[in-house]
Amino acid sequence: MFSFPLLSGGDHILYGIDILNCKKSYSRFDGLVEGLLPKVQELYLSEQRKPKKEKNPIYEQFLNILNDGVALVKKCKNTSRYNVFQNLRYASQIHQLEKEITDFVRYQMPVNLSLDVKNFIEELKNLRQLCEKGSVDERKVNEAIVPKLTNDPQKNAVMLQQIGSDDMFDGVLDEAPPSPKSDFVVGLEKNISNVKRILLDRDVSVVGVDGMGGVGKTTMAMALSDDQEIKGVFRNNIVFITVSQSPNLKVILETMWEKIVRRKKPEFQSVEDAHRQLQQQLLRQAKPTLVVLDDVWSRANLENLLFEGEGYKTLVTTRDRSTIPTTTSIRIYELPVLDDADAMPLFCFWAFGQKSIPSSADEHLVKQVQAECKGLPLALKVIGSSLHGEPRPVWESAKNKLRNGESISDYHKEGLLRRLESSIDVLDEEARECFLDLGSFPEDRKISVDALLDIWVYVRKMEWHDAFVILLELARRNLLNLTSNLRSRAINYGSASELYFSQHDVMRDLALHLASRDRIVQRKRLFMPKKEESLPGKWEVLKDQAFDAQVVSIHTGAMEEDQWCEMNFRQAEALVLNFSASNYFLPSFLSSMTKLKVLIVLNYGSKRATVNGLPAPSSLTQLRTIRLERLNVPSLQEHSRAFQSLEKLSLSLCEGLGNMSRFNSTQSSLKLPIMLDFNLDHCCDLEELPPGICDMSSVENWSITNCHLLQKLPDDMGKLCSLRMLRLSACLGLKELPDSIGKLGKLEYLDISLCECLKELPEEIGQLKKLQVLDMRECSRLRKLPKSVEGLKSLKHVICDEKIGQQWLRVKSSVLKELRVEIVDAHFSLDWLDG
Amino acid sequence: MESTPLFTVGQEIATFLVSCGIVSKAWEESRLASNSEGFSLNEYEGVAYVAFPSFHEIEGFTVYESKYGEGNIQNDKKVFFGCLEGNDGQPALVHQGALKLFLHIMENTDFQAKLQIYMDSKQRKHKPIIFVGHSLGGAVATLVTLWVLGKRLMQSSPFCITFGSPLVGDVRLVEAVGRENWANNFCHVVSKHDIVPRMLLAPFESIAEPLIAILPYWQGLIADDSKGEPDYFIQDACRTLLNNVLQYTHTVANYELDSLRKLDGVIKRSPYRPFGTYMFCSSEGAACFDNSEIVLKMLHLTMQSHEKSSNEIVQDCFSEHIAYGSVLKHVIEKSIGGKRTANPGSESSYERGISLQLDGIGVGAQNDHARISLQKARNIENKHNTNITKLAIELSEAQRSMAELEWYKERCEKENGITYYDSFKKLDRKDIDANLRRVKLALFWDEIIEMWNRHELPSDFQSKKKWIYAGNTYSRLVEPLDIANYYCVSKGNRNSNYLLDGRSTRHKVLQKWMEEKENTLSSTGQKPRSKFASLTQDSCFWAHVEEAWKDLEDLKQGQHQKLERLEMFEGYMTRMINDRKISSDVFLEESSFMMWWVEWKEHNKNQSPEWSSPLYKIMEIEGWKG
Repeated sequence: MFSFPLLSGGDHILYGIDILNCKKSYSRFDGLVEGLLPKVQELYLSEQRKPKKEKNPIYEQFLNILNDGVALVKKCKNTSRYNVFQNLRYASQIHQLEKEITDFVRYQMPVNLSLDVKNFIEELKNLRQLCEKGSVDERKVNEAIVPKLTNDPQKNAVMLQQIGSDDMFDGVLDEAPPSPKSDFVVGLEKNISNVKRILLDRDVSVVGVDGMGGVGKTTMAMALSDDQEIKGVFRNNIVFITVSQSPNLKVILETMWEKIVRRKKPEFQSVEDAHRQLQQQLLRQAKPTLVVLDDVWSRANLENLLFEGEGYKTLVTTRDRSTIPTTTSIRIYELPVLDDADAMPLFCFWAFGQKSIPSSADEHLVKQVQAECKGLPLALKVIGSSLHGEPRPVWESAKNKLRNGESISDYHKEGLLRRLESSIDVLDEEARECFLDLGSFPEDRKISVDALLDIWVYVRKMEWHDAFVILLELARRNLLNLTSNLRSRAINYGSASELYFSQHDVMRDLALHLASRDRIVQRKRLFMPKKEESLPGKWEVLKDQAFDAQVVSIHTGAMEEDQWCEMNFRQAEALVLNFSASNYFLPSFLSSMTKLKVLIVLNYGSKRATVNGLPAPSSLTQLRTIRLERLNVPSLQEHSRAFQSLEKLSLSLCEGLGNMSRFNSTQSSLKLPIMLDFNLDHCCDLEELPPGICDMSSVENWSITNCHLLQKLPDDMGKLCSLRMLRLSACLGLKELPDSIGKLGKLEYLDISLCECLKELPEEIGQLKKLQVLDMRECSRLRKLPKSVEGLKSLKHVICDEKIGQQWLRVKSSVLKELRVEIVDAHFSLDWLDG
Repeated sequence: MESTPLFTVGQEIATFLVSCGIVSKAWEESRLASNSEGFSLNEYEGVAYVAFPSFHEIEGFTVYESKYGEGNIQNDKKVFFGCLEGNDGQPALVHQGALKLFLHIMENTDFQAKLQIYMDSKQRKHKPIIFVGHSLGGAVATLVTLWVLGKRLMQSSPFCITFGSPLVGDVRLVEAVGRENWANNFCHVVSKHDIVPRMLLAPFESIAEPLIAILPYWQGLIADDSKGEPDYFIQDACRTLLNNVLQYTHTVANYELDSLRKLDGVIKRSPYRPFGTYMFCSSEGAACFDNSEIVLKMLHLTMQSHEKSSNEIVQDCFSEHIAYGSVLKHVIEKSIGGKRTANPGSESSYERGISLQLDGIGVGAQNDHARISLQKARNIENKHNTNITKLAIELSEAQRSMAELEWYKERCEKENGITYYDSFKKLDRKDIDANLRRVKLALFWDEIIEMWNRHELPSDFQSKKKWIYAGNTYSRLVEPLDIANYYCVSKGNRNSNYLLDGRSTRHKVLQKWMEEKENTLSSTGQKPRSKFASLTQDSCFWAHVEEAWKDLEDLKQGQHQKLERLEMFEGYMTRMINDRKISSDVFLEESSFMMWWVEWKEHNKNQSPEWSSPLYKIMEIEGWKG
């Protein structure tokens, strides 16, 4: 039963006449609703992402009204134009809704808008206050923040705020887990929905997304594989594979087999064999599957990774359109750069930490610089953040440099790099050299910062601290990403082993590009841009010539002895061997590299690799530092004497150290005469240290961290009389420290944090007259300090938790007046999960 | 850090109890019941009083099967709920005479039927119910109360008041009551010289004979309430009884508090121990104690009086047992009169409180022995409470590690597409870091369990939901990592079986606690799960998978006897899926279980192509997704 509108008043009669051409009225309404709906939806969605407390229900209300409107329009459409009564009723309803919408827009929206703006300004003020206060305490910033600075201004801002409120833990658990791909997708939404439409088309089996580096292909592919609608169609059969420049196709095919076929994989003879078997399997299987092949570089690679099958689809991203074959079932979508409307918010986000130009900035200048990025998201990000917080002259010069670049309508790789180069130009000579060394390490991997610093210190002959400052500068300029696992003070004592960095492939491209301008033999740095089966042919051709390279980086898979070719790298001072395999033969030319100072062997496979082919002991006499990662440590005994100049040995994620100790008890001790720095980290099977290890009387830095099985330190530790820094963080098995620790008369820094089983400190600890910093947080079993700590005359700083802190405060009030007792809560962090 | 309690409230509780009238009313009821058969039930001011008569004949008391008349609380009929056992898992011992009377009332009277309306869960407004009894009737009331408590009715919690009741159960019963937190439901009123509450501390042979002589005289007293002089013969029997009881009470009560747990010493001592709140009444007033060991001490100390001649004591020992009416009246007068002065020499309010308590029960504040043992026991209790508070703070810290591990689990699944169990075995950087959290949590829970074993936690710790559930969540989340660690370390050793020799005590104990807790909730009935669990309910699940792998390999080598074990595992798995007790990460493509399944299926298909099983059907339709 409806009330008949015509009878209820004159007003109704007026539009009642209008109803006679009801269709017209609804089409106008339709346009209104259609125009508003997507925007309101977006507003609503962005509102949904906020925590519950801050959600504004108003957008939901509005959305509901609009949805009603859509339903109504639909009904209207289906009604015969001769059904006058029905049409009248609808028209009345339309009128009603129209009025509601107008009211909403006229009254509700502005109020909410101004409320939002007010909140926003409030936030901004808080932030500015924090900044102006020098962010609480300068020392705190230097010690606590710098190691954690990321190249994400938003994160930094949030972090600063948290430090300001001194409440890092609050709210961490309340929020929903952030999606792992929380990349900023401004401006990509339109493209995402376009590609989605193509992808869901029945006739399409392969979608190729092509675009230049940094245009957001990977971001889009990730967003797509996480998209609800896509997930609805392909369910959990979505496989995301990063192919990159130098893929190991067999491994990728094996992964695909495991993820798609979900059975234990058979042994594949070759890539072809794997492809054939997988293809057969897929034809049999016939279920909706989406494989995302990200970052494909060559057509040959791609062809080995394409399959047919019922419901089987592939999304390919590439920088090179020619990679993708053209057949009827293949569509190519060219990902355009952002238009100005979308680019501005993104640029401002990186440059100012907000989505619009702040009133304090010169709007014209900002727009000019932004325009020079030509809508390339990566350029927006890099240039934006490299200008973050810079004064006006820097902006001016950046604008000019960008202007002088190539003709900008041509978006090829060279153009991008030339533009990105502008962010290198602001670096001084030394930092630029350092940046170029980044090409030694593969992209998108977490690498220990120490590895990089080793090259800078030993090859570039920089002081460690200067090198570290440059590292921070590069991180600040977004040229590399820094992450840290723990808030460590060790940096003050020349160790950054808990810091990690990674680099974006475009940044690495830039480093490679700049490093390879000279002829190969004359290059100062010789890098393999991508992983290959063996040394690049271009190098092998020149094997009779002497290379000038100082830094050589090689990236391969498993290597056999005969796969190496004799090269003349006699000038090389640093050699970086990257590989992912479980067996590896060291290159034969290693023994001829007489000037070699830095040797870095990094395995990225999931298993610890066995390494063979150590050079004869007589060579490598100049070697200063060795870093090994994810290896079964080769026995070093016979070489120990040969490493006459070795200053630093770092083993991370290595196994086989247990053997080393057993072997050693019968043999002569491990003598490494002039060692300065000894690091063991995450060596999960280390139970005991070899007894002779304490004969390295010259060692200054000793760090054994995260070795959970280590039960005991050698009793004769007191022999390490030059020790300045001793780090035993997270050695869970340690129940006590040896008494002889008191003999370490030069010790300045002692870190026993997270030694959960440590029950007491030896009384002898009081003899450490030079000890300045003691980090003992989260030693939960350690309840009592020995009386002798009162004798620690040089102690300036203790970091500990509440319980033991009270005892330190008592010591402070009675004897050590200068002591700074820093009481910290148990550290909650998820950084460790990114490793 | 030692800290002393700030005050004691023993005397205030006693004052409250006597002045609120319930105790007096209870005494009245138990007097009236003395003539009834079995029990009497009266309602008064909305409270139901169920009274049990004191014993009439020596048969009620005499049990010759054991030295002290003790015996297993559970007979063949399993009247009591199963939780009445000590911390060692052995059933509690109770006095068989009282048990016999209790069973008689349960079976041969309309007691259960009459009580039904009070225990009916449909009853909208339940009435509070108090079980009362005098002498052996008190022991029966105690058992009845335990029986009702064991039913775990949500709507009523019965109360029990006894007068001059003999002791009922042994140390296991005390532990059970402490664990269930039922001690507050019992109030035992004991007069200073009443012999009956102490009687069972002496072996049966030493009390039976005089008791038979005294009984008729007692009954006469109860009948007409007049105080006739007993004849010489009875007086002599009384003296013998008193001397025997005093002697044995002394031996039992003066054992060191800790060694009381060792039941079998050189001399077999009485197993009985008090539980619940004891209200000691004397001419000086009254005070309450609820610590079992203190009550035992006080039972001894109050009896030893130097003020009165031994003849007078003999007289009081028997007359006070039946004169609770006048004892209560006196206490009420005392408490209303308000003579509450403590020795001004005492320093803290706590010490003054103790003085008042000792004065109240007629031991005298000067009795250093009493004072010291009282303080000692209080300090232990206080320490237990401090311990639990400290642990609660540590628990909140441990929850951080739990949260971190939950993220670890999530990340492994979302980013690497493998279960956190399988990821942990790869020992990459983040897995080693996860191990740090695992070890932290293990240390935390090990410590709790150690403290529990050392009796350093409150006796009701085990019934605290917070701890049980926290422990359970811990096991479910972290035990898979313990299993992974076990199989990593024992790599290659095919004889190592986590389920047989790898599982740590903490998981076993936590599981036991949880099961006990679940048993107590079973009356409400658990609904079947409608969704898959977020954490696999059986924390040992992965160990079963590991063993199934080994069995399958053996089977392929031709060890056909393993087939049975594998089929058992399949059955187990089917049940787990059907009950939705498994978390869906188990079905990730590369999980150990899925790899096993593929191998197992292939093996069976090779044997016979038509092979099928319930699990096969589930796996084929991917039944875990629904």
